[in-house]
Amino acid sequence: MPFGHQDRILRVNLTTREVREEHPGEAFYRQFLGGEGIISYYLYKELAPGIDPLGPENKVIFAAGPLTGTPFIGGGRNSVGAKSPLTGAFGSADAGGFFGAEMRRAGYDAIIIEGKADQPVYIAIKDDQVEIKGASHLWGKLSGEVQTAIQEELGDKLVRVAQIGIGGENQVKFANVINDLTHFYGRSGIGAVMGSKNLRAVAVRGTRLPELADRKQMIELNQWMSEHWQEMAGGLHDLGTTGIVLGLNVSGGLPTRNFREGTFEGAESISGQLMRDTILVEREGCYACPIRCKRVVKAEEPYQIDPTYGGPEYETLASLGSNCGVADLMAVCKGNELCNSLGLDTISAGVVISFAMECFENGLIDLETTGGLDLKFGNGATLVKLIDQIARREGFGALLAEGSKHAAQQIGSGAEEFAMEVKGQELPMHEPRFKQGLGIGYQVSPTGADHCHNLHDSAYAKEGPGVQAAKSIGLTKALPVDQLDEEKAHMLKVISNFRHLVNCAEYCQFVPWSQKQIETALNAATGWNTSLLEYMQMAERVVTLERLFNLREGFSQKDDYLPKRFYRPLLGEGPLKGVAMDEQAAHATRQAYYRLMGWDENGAPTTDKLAELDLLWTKQ
Amino acid sequence: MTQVTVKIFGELYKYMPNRLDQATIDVSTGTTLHELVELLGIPDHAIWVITVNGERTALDYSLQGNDTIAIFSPVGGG
Repeated sequence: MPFGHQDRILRVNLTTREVREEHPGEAFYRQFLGGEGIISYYLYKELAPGIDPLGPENKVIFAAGPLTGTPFIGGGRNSVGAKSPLTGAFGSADAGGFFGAEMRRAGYDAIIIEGKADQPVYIAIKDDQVEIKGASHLWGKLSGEVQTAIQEELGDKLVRVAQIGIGGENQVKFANVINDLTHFYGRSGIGAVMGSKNLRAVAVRGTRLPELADRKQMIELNQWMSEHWQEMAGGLHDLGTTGIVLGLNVSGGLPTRNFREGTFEGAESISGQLMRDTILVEREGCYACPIRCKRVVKAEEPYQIDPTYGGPEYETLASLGSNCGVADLMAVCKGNELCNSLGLDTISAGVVISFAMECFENGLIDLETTGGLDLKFGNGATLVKLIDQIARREGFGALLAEGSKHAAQQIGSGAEEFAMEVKGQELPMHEPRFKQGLGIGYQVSPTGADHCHNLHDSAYAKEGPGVQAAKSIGLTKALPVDQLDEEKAHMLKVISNFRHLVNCAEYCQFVPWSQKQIETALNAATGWNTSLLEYMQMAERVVTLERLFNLREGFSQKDDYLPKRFYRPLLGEGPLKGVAMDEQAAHATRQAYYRLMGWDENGAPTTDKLAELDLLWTKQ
Repeated sequence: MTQVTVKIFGELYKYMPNRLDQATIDVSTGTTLHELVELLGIPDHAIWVITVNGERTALDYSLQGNDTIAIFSPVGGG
């Protein structure tokens, strides 16, 4: 070869126990690139419309990109996808760590898992050897126990384990997939899909390095980043993502008490700075990355917090902290540890709890409904108890395990108003009244509310190096965070498509590579000697195919909504107090985004756009 | 001379003495916030919000002894 890929996809059928290898060929990779792109293709091509996401017809796909497992700094990521049980739409989630790199070293660009095992199993892969092994003895155990047991069973401490927790076994709709205990494919509820297949884990070990078309070029890029990352991303090393708690708070964009407010009086108490200065015991990182932005925290009192499960990211400090009104770092860190050891997405867990808190405050549920849990905003002890109940589907937790959209329908009496979700997926910790283009991004994202492939307006609000670098992909100028019009729709299209490209190439968005450097890196991996024009078109093809998947499932323009709350004034204190999104401007911006994507007014891609992207085959 | 405390939030470490996120800095009496930012060499695009003693403050503010200045870079998110 090489063209940056192994050209090997492993297919494991858990019903028939058949294992086989496929070679899709260079033309396939040149259309879909890798990672999320591989997932979009196979889910569209192979899933019949309307299947039960928790039935044997669904497929779980682990997919790497051309940068995964290469020496490229930040190349430690991969995606996991399936039809999402949380949304019923296209589902995909990304994580760093080491699993994706190990999968590539074992020689695979992707693993497609289909069917359903008749009893709990895990898949063990060592290079070409693939085995489906019994996991009944692992069922019901914490993720830490399971990883140790699998590594001991396989006699190899370097086996990388991607697994679900008890939450996934119980098919909690927002169950995550865990790798190496501290990295999480959090969103879309893929853990529940694995649980429905009786698949507890995939363990992988490989001994072959992915080949590169131009190793020298990639090493040169790495040398540049080695010399520059400290000045460009030194803060990430010091504080990780937790460093943004106070910045968002002072900007008025820190989600507080179920997104009612944007400034939290207890922000200092859940800040990354406090965590660093009190319970941080280590900083960890991912494959091929010097930044080491991951946190490890440890405490004995008032909660015992096990450092085995790392520490919270910003998303978790806000979702379990400010958004539940909890100003108690220890309770938030304990909640994080429980989500991680039990296999729940911390974002959805926090937002489904903040939803319940607002229902409780408004009298839609009471102590009788909650089994005696006092769900006042700010009650950290209840937060911790409820996370455990959700994962085990016990008590009131069983209702919340279905996600906030479903729980709101069950509770009724207007509870829908308090459910902060789009397409059923809970909002991540970014306030649409602060970053208004991101609010449109929440609406049109194929996976429901998402921050990973969305526009963060504040990063492009001032002319500077970030805006300059993005001109190579078509950005024209900086725009204010609260501007909503055709110009913002264009910015959303350009930046969001690029971030989908990142999830196809599979590298970490926190490593401050410019778009042009990514072009160089992808060419160094693939040898295609092409430009960002083609790479961006690959991303647009992937986004369009995901849109087609959702349309086929019955989604339409009406599912591209935002909770009504964001069209009303932000409450509380802070600089954005009283700010609301203009509903008409938001609608017009969404329609402009459709047009710029080549979609009709109902959000369906036009035939001309399908022809441009070589997707006419989807009409057959 | 006036002594103030400067705290930075976000990717502004490279502008700070010893690359720390907090420093005590001596400035001439009457120095404005704008002049402090220039002294540190922080470009406009790298600044989102500045607070003095917890309050958002305009750049023409004249620094007082023992002020705590917090400089926040634009928050992206990931």
